[in-house]
Amino acid sequence: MAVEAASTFAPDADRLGSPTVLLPKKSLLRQLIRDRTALVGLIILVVMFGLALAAPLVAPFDPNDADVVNRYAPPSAEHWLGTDNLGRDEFSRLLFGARISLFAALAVGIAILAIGIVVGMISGFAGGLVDGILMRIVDVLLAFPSLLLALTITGMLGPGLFHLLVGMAVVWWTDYARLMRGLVLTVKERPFIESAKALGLPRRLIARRHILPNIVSPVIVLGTLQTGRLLLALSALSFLGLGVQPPTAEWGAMLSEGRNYLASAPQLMLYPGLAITIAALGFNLLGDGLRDILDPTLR
Amino acid sequence: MTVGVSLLEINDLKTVFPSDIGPLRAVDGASFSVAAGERVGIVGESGSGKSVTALSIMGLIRTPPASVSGKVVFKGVDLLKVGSKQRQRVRGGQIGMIFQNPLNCLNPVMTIGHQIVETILAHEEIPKAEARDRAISLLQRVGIPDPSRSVDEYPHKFSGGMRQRVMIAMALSCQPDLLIADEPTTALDVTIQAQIVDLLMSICEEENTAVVFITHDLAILAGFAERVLVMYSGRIVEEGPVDTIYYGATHPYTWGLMTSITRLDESRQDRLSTISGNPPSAVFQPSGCPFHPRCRYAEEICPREIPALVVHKEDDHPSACHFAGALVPPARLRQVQQ
Amino acid sequence: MIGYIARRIAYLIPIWLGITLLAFALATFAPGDPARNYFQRTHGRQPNPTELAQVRARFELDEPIPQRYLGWVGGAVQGDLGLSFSSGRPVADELLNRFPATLQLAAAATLIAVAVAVPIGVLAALKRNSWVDQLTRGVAMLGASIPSFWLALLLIIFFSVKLQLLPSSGRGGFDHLILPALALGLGDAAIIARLTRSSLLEVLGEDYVTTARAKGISEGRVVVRHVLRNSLAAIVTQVGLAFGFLLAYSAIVEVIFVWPGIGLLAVEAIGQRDYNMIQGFVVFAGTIFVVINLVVDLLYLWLDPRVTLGPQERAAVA
Repeated sequence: MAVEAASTFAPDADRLGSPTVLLPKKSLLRQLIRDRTALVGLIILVVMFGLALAAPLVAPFDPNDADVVNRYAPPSAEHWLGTDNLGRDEFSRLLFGARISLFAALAVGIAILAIGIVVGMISGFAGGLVDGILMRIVDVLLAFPSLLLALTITGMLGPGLFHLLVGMAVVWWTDYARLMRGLVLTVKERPFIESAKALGLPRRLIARRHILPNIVSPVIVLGTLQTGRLLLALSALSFLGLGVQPPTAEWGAMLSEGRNYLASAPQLMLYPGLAITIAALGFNLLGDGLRDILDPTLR
Repeated sequence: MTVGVSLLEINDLKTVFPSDIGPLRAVDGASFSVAAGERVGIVGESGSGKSVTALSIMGLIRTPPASVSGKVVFKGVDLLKVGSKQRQRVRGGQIGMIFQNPLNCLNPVMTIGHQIVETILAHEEIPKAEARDRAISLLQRVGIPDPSRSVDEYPHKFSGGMRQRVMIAMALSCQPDLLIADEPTTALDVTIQAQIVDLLMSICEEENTAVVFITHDLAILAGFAERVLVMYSGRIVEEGPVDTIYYGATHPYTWGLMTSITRLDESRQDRLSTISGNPPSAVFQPSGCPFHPRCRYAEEICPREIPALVVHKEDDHPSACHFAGALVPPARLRQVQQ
Repeated sequence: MIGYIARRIAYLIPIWLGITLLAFALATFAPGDPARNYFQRTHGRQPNPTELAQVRARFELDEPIPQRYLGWVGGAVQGDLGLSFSSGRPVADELLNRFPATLQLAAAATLIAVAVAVPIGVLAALKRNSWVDQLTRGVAMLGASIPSFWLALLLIIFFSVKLQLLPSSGRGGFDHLILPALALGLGDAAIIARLTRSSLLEVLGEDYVTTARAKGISEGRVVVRHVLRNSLAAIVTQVGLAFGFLLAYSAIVEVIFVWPGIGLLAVEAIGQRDYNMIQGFVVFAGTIFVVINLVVDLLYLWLDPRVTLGPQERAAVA
């Protein structure tokens, strides 16, 4: 029918047909630039991470410098976004807050990626009882909303950034493990793996040469989207007071402080929330774009 | 060659889809007619525009983005000019359609009876119970065992052949004047294919329903169609009574299709490959005769001029080849034709 | 059918036990001595050994860990989750007292999400690539990026502080429900709208939709009876799962709006290091989750007549 006829002539029909798309190393950046949503996401993240890294250089004030005379100042040439309840420069606090919010989310992201990959690979390759036990653990963790569990674990360990990171990492690795296991299982059955085995290639070589490249794309896509989610969860838990403790600047914590001045200084709520939203939007846009580029089958 | 009054008259039908690489001309100026009660076969490779022709007649092409132009005159009314309400009345009421894949053509979460009743009630104002009774007798007519019980079953309980029977019952539920069958047997086993063709034949003769039977398989038309249209690259390239096409085809493309059916021992793909090359892209069509890049008889005029579908002087039926009637069919075909 | 349900339940039992183990481990291996903390808080001084032993006995902390776990699970099955360290009342009673509030909030949020998301998702699918579709995509992307607690705060600033229309805290009349339900529901609406769109698009490409159109029934009927009806299983599943996650995110929204549900209870318990309450909460919420999953499965079964067999077939259909 019509649709069928159209797809036959679609320029990327071949690419759609093949189940795996190897990571197009050279053209990835070019493709990202062509995909407008992904490009916007990438720019947002580059700018935000860049500002976070450069915070000590860029920030006009020390984030903890209180200027009690100058509280709740409106935006001015001196204080771009005004000052908070203690007269601290809001813009500088946002910049320094970005360092914790973004890099903490990234740290959790990397930790769960490592845990997930190891567990998923073991599960996928070992099979049998090991697989059964590991996947039941995943089921139990998934049977419970991650955010609530992270909240409980962190609460039990006691508030603090490190405990929060541990609490989140313990809970969130399951998606990667499942993805990894599924990928290993499908890749394991592919003819080219069989033939590599038949050729007598050592297992480690098979894994590195043939299996890893096939799983990189989906992991990158999931990783980008996941880090956005982690950022949201992290700021939510920080907001509840489980993360960094005052006076350290962090977006969620800033919102938590600002909440007390909801009626008198609502602008204090605005900037950190906006920062979180924009950063999360960056991850989501980039993730969506990467999915379109790297893994057409996931669409 | 037309028998009786024209029921359906297609004139210069063009259906174009937009695509990333340019307009895709799925149907590119097809013209033909179907008389009341006549059984017409349309044959061609996949991608030749047969199915899109059927969907265009039914008004099932989404416009926009696609565009459908030309004339589709049914019982004296140009369906391309009427409003969507009237179109909807014709569809299913006066023109029934059955599709290629019976496994996917029935709604999985609705009982088959409900699906037939729904069709009847869309076109006739009769009580539900009466419609249900008719559904049961239709199921009986198409050979569904235990119809009064089957009527309340969901499609997944039926085999492919049985589901195609249900589709036929549904398409005929409002006694249409025309039935369009788009590859109705392609997805079925050979034995079931014959049963379905026989069923279509007997019902349509009884009800005097005209049929347009679309297929890529000339053989299946032999016992069914009265007239055959050969379609290539969105156009009709040869047409004539079934015997003429079988024994006196003059278009090299039809010869290709003929040779492919003479060797039933081969798989379908092998058979199709007896015409060398691929059907042309509906976006980048060759100049002149669309078949010339694959035609072993092509001469200098072929890439230059599009041959018209006319009766050539050495010929007895319309054929869109510059040399119709003047070419000698390949040896293998001559054997069959004798 | 009965066999299928039995298999599902049999599959969920080990998961439930896993949840109890998790809850128990959380409370047991957390740093600090709950009995000492309790005595200190209630009496304002360090307990002597006899007093400590009394407290331990009262909260059943004096037995070895495996016995404690078994005793606790045994109690949990019968609805006994021990005593709260902070109030001294049975944990199960407190949870059940607070649960209706959470349920009400989650139900209202789901209602809002479905009412907003399904029509938008349907429209976006039917008008694919139109401005409606683009807008939906943009809004859904934004919805997935806005932190729900920030949305809650914005709603308070706007509707309670600026307009003074709606109350910003506590549970009372219908007006108390609106803001928390909105804060919770809108984020979900974004997800459900996208899912509705994609499952509808999938069904729209099916042959039976073409058949339905070819039958000459009205376009409205094609959309409702054929397209929507076939997408329903997927949409219901998503809404069901989302309902579970609403219960989770409601914890934060409950804190912001001081909505007296189990989420607020849990956060309070964490603040007071009320271990029994926390482990009770984990088991309670986990049980609700497991039950929701089961209900969603059964709904799926009911909505799709094709699904009558084992998990493999089910996976193939889904």
